[in-house]
Amino acid sequence: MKKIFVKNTYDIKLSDKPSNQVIDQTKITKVALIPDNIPNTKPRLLKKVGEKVQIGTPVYVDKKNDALCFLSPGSGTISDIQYGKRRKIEKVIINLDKEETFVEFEKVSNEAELNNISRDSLVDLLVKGGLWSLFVEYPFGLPPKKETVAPAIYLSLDEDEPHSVNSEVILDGSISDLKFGIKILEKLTNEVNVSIRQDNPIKDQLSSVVTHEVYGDYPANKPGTVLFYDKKDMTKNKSWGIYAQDLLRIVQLFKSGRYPIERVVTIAGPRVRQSSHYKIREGSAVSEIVQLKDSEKEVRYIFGGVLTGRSSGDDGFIGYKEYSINVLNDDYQPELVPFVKLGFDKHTFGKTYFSWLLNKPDWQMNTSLNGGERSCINCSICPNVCPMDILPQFLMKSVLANDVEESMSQGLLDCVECGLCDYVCPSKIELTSIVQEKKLDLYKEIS
Amino acid sequence: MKFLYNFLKKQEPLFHKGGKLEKLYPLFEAGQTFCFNAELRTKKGSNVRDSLDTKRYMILVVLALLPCTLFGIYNAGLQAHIAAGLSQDIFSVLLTGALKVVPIILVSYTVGGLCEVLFCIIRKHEVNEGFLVTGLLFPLTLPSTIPLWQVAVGIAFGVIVGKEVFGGSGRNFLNPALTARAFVFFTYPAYISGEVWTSLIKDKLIDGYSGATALAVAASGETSGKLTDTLIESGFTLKNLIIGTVPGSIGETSAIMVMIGAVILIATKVGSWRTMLGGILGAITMTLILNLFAGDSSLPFFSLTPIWQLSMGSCLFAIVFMATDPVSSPGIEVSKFIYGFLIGILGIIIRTANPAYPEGWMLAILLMNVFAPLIDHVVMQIRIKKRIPNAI
Repeated sequence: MKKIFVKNTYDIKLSDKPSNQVIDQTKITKVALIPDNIPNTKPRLLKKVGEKVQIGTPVYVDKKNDALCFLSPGSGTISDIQYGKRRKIEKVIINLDKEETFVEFEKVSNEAELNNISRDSLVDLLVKGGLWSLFVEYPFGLPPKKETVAPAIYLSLDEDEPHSVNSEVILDGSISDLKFGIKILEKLTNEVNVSIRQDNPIKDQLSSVVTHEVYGDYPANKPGTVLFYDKKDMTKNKSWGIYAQDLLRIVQLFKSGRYPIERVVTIAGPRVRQSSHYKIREGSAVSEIVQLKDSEKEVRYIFGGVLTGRSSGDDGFIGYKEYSINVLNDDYQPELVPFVKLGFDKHTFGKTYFSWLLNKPDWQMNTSLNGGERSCINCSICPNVCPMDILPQFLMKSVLANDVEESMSQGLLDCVECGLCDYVCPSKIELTSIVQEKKLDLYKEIS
Repeated sequence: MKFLYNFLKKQEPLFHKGGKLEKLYPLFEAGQTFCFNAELRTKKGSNVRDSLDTKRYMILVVLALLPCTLFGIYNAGLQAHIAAGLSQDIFSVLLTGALKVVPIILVSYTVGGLCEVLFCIIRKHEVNEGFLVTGLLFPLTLPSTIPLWQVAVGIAFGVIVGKEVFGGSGRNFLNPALTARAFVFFTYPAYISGEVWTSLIKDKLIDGYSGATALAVAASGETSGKLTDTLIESGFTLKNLIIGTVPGSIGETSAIMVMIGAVILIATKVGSWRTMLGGILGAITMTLILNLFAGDSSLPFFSLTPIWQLSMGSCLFAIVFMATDPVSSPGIEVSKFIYGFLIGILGIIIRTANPAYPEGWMLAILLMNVFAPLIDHVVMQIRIKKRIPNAI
């Protein structure tokens, strides 16, 4: 087992950690597909409003990459398709029937069957089963093309962004499934690297498959981070990454022959009635699955972690590849001259407020920008939270100056878009978004 | 608090697009965000943000400057009273000092602030908090004898040419406070050349009072024996220099007060300890090198030991407060150290070897400000070589 020490990681210590209890919340009346949760998807609709769909019926495919086929997570009637600016499809809403039916796919339920099918038909199964988009291909962090073969696949057992699903919960009773999943990955590529958080209690049970032990806080366990610290030369730059909860869905598809619609997610936040793990269905509406303590103040729903997630109001739906819903207060509380206070109650990375003396276990956070947008003052705080050894302030400047060569040599494509530099920046510059947009531009140029 | 907030909210439409005072929006925004926390919510990127903003960042530098400022007020009064042969009672000394120094600070803040706001209105950007620091740093580098109109002209030059023409705080490449001082220094050398810097009270002067600064004594070279003896005879004992009860610019004299500021900057991680350490090591190294060349034929200034060099003049003040300005210094940790070290070396060279300039730090730092991007570039190239390339 190779040890990986990731430097410059940081735990923001978000309050209301979800408990390990799993609560069933699968009784719902509608589901939705959100094209936005996989960046750069340009959906081509295959179904119209009013048409009937089954669980597993393709609803849309990506215009550029037809391997990205998105299946209906519910059986019923398409009731509405909501468009955003420039006729961008934002939501496809499906009203569920009482009795739901499934599209049946080919089953691959054990290793013997797995050995019998070819790699191509395995890929076909994944594409048809709608789960090809679970993989991300580095350096762009977008789903790969169907015909590419990864130099290596990095499977991370722990997602470590605050309030992500706990691997102890999702792997409870599914260790053999996970091992089968790793066999599937081995069929796709020659090298499968499995990484686990160094202090994970289930480490011993998995010692036969785990290849990397990761030391460090967020984002040390992102597959991209493990890849960065593991690679010796350029050959592995285009590796793929996947998380354990994604892989378990693939296993479920192969074993049951049906599109997996249920999954365990976390729902957490200061105003959530019970911050915990929930068993929900893909595409559930927050209005049906999230119970708040009160509805007086405005909240923001964040799908995925608070640092990288997609946000929405109370009309949001959880997407295809999102495993947590964080609920943060979104209202404004006026506070007189906060910047001259001692600040025992202010969460901060550095030592500019006295809160560092308290060593508080967690901080209740909200969506406030906590300051005004300014130009970069070169304070050099951001390099302290960049595990990829990038200097975000310099990278940001060369990206904004449109110097692509310089940006790439500084590590533009190594960035795993963890959002920590956004968090610490006192000038409130959206460093991650600036880098993300440039990467996406580059991707569009070459594809 | 609620009342003030509601009052501000009520006025807000006046300043929005289409309102009567639409042009003054930056002023309103500055006022509102000064009184209350920002109302802005996160839109892109991370949904949660650190509590640290530039206001907090800059106010901590102002806090670190306060000991120097207060001591500066006391010392300006003290020097004036010594020169006039008046009592050195602390209250009357503070009163005299305050009457001399507070107007300088007020003029600096008012005129500089006006320039800043004017630019914000024309260029339609927010008022930058960096001015809180510049507006205080600049007066502290001036002697208390400076005419107020020169303060006004200086800070206006510093804010406009040193900062705003480039687009405001963060986009300037020179330290605005030092740009302002350099302007005053070269335009009105008679007032700031470091000969007599004590404010006089109604031209009353006791006999035999010279009022020269330690640097002027050291640079004059009129010594028969050891330079340190001459300095001590003129009242510049090491103890006085470290406490700071000697003539000099308002904020620079006290090594102890500067050290308190340095501790605040380092403890809050607002100032870079690498720059400070580099600067002090550079100054010590260069002093030791000069000591090697010290002899009968050389300038007597060469023979001063590092502790004297560090405690005289504005050495520590410049290294702690001026060199650490993040905008005009390099951004990589290693280059910060190199940058500080070179400032230390250059500052000592200019101070000792060039009799035209009584003090070297302003010029050393401005020169290194220009070189900061180059240092960063070189260090960056070395860093890039260590990376595994990731290109398409």
